[in-house]
Amino acid sequence: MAPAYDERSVVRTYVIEPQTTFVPFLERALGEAGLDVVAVSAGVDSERIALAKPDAVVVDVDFVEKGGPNALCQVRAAAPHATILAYTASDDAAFSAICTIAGTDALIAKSSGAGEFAATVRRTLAARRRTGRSRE
Amino acid sequence: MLASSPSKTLRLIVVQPEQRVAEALAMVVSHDPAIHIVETVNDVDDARLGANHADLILLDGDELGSALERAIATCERAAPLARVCVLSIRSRADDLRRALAARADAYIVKDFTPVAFCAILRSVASGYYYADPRIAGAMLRRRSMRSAVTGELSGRENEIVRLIAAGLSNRDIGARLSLSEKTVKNHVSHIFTKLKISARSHVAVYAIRSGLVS
Repeated sequence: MAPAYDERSVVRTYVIEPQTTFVPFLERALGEAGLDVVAVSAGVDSERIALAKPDAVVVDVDFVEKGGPNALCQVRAAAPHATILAYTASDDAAFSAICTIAGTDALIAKSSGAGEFAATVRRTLAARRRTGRSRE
Repeated sequence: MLASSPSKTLRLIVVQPEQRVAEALAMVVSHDPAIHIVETVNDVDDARLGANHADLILLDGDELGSALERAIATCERAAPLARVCVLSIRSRADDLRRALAARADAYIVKDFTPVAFCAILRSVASGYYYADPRIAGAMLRRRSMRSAVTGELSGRENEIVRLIAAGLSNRDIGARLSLSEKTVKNHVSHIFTKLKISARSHVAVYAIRSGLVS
């Protein structure tokens, strides 16, 4: 059985955020969740993601080029074992479903505060490890 | 344009080991009241696959990985009348080719909208095949460019191939087609380059194999 998520373990995190104004908040919230941001890019760079070997990828699905679901497909292909978190202002259930099909493990609302953001990230990492889908 | 037959209710079986993804697919399909998920199973070996008279079976190509071919074959055996749709995150020509070679009826990239997805399912259920147009378009463009540079023979070149296969010399071919011997020689040179051959006897073999002569 896969071990439970250990808050002390290093979680290499890749952030895809076309809106540079969101980046400081994301870095702070991810830091509070105990995650190390190893790279930030404005779009999906599959080669760079694959090289970074992230444990987690945070994608702003509202602004990324070619649309969030397309970006999620590309990220999942580049990092099959990573936990993928879709960061969105949408509360549309159909959009959420499409993002799930496209490969995200969880959606995080942009209205979340840093604490709630961190809790969602930790919960999702733990859930993915429980199912044995993450890289151990 | 995609065809559809909205009057008939389509019976869909979803093969999906991840429950949250299966629930997401059910949510997307619920946009079309004419599509009814009759069963959701974890894998293709489930006996329910053949017991529900499905019109469509939805496979997750990413979950199946190297087992895709076997999964499609199992679907064909268990539910011979059902059409098999493969979902994938991958937009590569190789993945599309692999799915179609395994006899999938559709290859759908997972970044669809609910409306488009339901339209694709209806279209496939009514007998059409579906390949993601971004991948198929890129494949066709590459193929067209390749044939423009080195690939298929022109109508005139095919004509000359037939005459070479019939044993005519360049001079005889020129006389037959009202061309100078030098022009025929140029055509023959192009034919050799395109077919990557170096002898007239090879042209005859090509003519027979390609059905230009019997």
